[in-house]
Amino acid sequence: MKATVISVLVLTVLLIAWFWPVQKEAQSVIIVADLSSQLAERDRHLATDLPVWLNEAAAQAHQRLNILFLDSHQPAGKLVEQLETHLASGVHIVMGCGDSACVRTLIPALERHKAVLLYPASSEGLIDSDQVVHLGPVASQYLFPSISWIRHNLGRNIMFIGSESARSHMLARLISGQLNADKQLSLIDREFMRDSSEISSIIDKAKYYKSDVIVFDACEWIAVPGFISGLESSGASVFSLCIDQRPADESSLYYVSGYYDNRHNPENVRLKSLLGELNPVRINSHWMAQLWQQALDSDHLNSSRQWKEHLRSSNALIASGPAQIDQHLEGTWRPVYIIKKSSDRLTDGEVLMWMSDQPLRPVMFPGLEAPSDWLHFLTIYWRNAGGEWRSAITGSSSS
Amino acid sequence: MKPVFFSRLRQFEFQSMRARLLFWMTLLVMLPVVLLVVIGLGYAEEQLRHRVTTEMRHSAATLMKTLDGRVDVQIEDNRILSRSPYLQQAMKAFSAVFGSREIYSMEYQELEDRYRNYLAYYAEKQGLTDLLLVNLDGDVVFSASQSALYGRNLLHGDFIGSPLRKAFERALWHMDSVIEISPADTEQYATLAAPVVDRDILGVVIQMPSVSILGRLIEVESNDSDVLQSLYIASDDGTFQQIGQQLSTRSGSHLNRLLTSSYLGADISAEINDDEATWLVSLKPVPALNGVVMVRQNKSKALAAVRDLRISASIGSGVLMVVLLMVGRRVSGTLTRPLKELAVNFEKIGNGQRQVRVDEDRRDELGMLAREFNRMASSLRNTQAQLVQTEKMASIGQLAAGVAHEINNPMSVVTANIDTMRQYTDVYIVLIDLYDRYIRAVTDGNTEDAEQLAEKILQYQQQEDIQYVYDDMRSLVEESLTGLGRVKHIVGSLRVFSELDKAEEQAVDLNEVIQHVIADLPAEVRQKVVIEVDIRICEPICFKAEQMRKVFAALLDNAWRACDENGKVRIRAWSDEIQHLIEFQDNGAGIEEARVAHIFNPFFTTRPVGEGLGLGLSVAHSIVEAHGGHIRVQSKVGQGTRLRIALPRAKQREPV
Repeated sequence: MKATVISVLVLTVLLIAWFWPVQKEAQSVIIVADLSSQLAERDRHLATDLPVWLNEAAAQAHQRLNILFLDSHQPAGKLVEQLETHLASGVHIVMGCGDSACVRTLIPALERHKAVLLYPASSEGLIDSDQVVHLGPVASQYLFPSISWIRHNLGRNIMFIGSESARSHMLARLISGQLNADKQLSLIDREFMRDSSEISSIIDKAKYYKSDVIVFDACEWIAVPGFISGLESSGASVFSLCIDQRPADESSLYYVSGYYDNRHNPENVRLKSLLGELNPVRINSHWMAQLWQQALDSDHLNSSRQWKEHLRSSNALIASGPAQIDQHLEGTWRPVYIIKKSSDRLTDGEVLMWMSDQPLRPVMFPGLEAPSDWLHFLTIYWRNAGGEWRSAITGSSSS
Repeated sequence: MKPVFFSRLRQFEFQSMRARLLFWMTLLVMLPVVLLVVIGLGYAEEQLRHRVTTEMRHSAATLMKTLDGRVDVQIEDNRILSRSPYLQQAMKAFSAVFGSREIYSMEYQELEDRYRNYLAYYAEKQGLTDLLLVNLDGDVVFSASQSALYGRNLLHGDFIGSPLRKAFERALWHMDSVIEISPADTEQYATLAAPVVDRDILGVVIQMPSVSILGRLIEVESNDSDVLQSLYIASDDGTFQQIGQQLSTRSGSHLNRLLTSSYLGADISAEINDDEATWLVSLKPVPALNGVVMVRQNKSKALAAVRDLRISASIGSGVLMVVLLMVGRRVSGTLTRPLKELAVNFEKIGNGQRQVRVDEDRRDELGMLAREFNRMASSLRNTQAQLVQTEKMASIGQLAAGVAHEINNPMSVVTANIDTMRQYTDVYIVLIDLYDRYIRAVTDGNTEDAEQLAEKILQYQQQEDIQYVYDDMRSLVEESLTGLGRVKHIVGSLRVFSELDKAEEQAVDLNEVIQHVIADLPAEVRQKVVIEVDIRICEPICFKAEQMRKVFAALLDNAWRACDENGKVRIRAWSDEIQHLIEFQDNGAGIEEARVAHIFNPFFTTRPVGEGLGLGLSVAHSIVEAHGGHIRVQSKVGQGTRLRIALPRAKQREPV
């Protein structure tokens, strides 16, 4: 009897020891988002939703997770310094950035430490780095179809309004290159806003030029009440290239988007019922968490090389539609939609005007110039902007 | 479901304990073994399937990357060509002369002389069937192979839905080099187009790779003959067409659903069936080709190792089962043999044998049981002897009480009669004395005395009513003789009990014995009662004939006495496997239920006094029991009585 009890106890101890979950080494992820400027609202999904999803994924895998937050709204030098500190400690996974200016700021540090940035938002492209993986659309995917669609549907005289940023300047250059080539279109004016105080003067200029179409890329201020409707009061159709954002006020804005509320997309229906409101960055943030979880499950998080290899050619049906990361990490194959904002309740506030018939190829350096030319243009801009990729003033969140 | 099954299994009555032991031992051992084998096989299959699926997924991803890379090269080549200043010049020049000049005009021929060599050379080196320059209006202004496409307008209705027109329009829409796949066109299923831009958009250059180049482009042949690879291109109608095949997938089919899911972005690993086999498939979207690659492997071949493992496990389980049955049979035999021996000995005890003993060598519980059995048998022997003695004494007491009671009545009468007769004797003595004195007085001549004595005698006779005394004495003697005769009869009947074991058994014909018993009945009885005889025992029966005759006579006597006029007695006899059965049934008055239990008691009778002693059935019962049999009674008042004698057949019967 005694021997039996001892045997059972020993067996029990052995079984418990065998099945006791082994505590794995903690994974670390850096999340970069604007936490303090007026763009914090734009990046709120990166700051709030993404950590939750990552933690859920880690909990499912019994993995400890250490999330480090970096505020992108701080001087570039300080941001890079903080990032370098974290990267030097062995962290090689970075997620976030709400715009390409943030990405461009981080690239040198990422290159030095061979860390990989998973970037969920859209950009103008023109990024020559293997360390950045775009999940959002690049200019080749949304800009040229938009210009073609504008030419066919909205008019031929175009006014461009952007912000003082590398993105807007490069998009303007791409547009002007195409418009110059296409003699049927003409670019009447290009405006680059530095801060919100210029809004009224921009509206006045729009009224003065009376263009057919205003191509809008001053995304920092798209949510400013009255801005879009003010531009529309000039009689022009406003077409927004702010692919991740919607205007706040009532308007008849046209915009190109990486997401359309497609009721025939089961993933869109599922995610919408789970999360409620969806937008491209939120959807891509959710996909980022899924990609991270898959890599965790398949043990592909041990090095940036493994992580990149995992990302290469990863595909999924996401709420935006079919998406596949390009095997050369040029971006993500994905569909693009042109939508008109509508006040008609029957259309749920938006009407689909055009969509790509298949996932579009991401081309990091599109247009007629060579990559080195684009990098040269970017360097000139950066130098002229005093070492910033965006000189527009976004202000603090309280302002 | 399961509890019911096990409940029924538990309640199932096995024919032997050995079968039960063997069944449960086999079940309890084989169940975990089978479970382990099933789980192990399932796990192995899952692991193998996982490995195969992973490899196939990897193959699909590799194939997708390869195809994507090849397409990239083609697209990039076309992009570079489209940016060539030489091509831009050619485009400008051909566009300028197109429409305004004939193809055979000097201007056109000059342009051909200037550009065609280079463009035709490029087309040949690139393996193109044609290289087209198309202006912004859609006019084909140059064809390197001088094909019929020259001069055609791609925006014309003839080209609606054609890959050429699609490629032309997409190149201008996206302002980039594009590829258009059209699997339905087996001759030209890929078309490359790129916008030609100088300062202005000049037009589109279109490359049409030859089939051989296209074949290399979308080469999906696998090095592994067991792994098949194929490329499906999405069509506008939601179906897919496999490159190199004429037929599209059927809309709504399982394969089409899988391809659609993969095309929409999901990584698919699944099973599909066709006429040949069941396939494990892995699908990966190829957006560069607007299609899906599928890697498939014959499931039975891929999981052949599991099949082999399953066969081995089945054989192993079978062998284990056989070994288990053999061992179990031996073990259960060891366990049940002593029990069987015990059962046999219990049966012997039940049959009356007392000298039984089992082997008690074992040291386990069965040995303990055997020892206890032996002790019990020994104790039983002692107890039985005491019990027999006690029963004997009780029987004797009961019999003695009956005898005393039965003899006491006639003896009381006799005693009383003798007492009366003694008084009568005194009377007669006095009378004889008077007569004696009278005779002597007469003899002496003493007349006076004689007269006085005569007077006295007469007076005395009158006084004592001598006539009554005389009559009464006769009556008393008769009564006493009757009483003594009854006592004699009782004593004679009791002798039967003492002679039960004295006679020898002999084989007799039952029918003959019964017929003799019937023949001994008085003639008036045979007239009064109908006696039916149905004897179905032909072979001689071994018993003590005289005693059994008394039994039959007693039963028949009781039967006919219970009947009134038109009574009927039926005598039946038959045998079964273990006993002879002889039945006496009458349709007489029947016996009350309370009295049935007493009919075999000595001196119990329902007949009037003097008509029966009540020893017939008691004696019959004793005789039958002495033969190892028994008598059963069934009776219902007003309907009759049935007494059934059961005698064991000779081989089962212990010697009496």
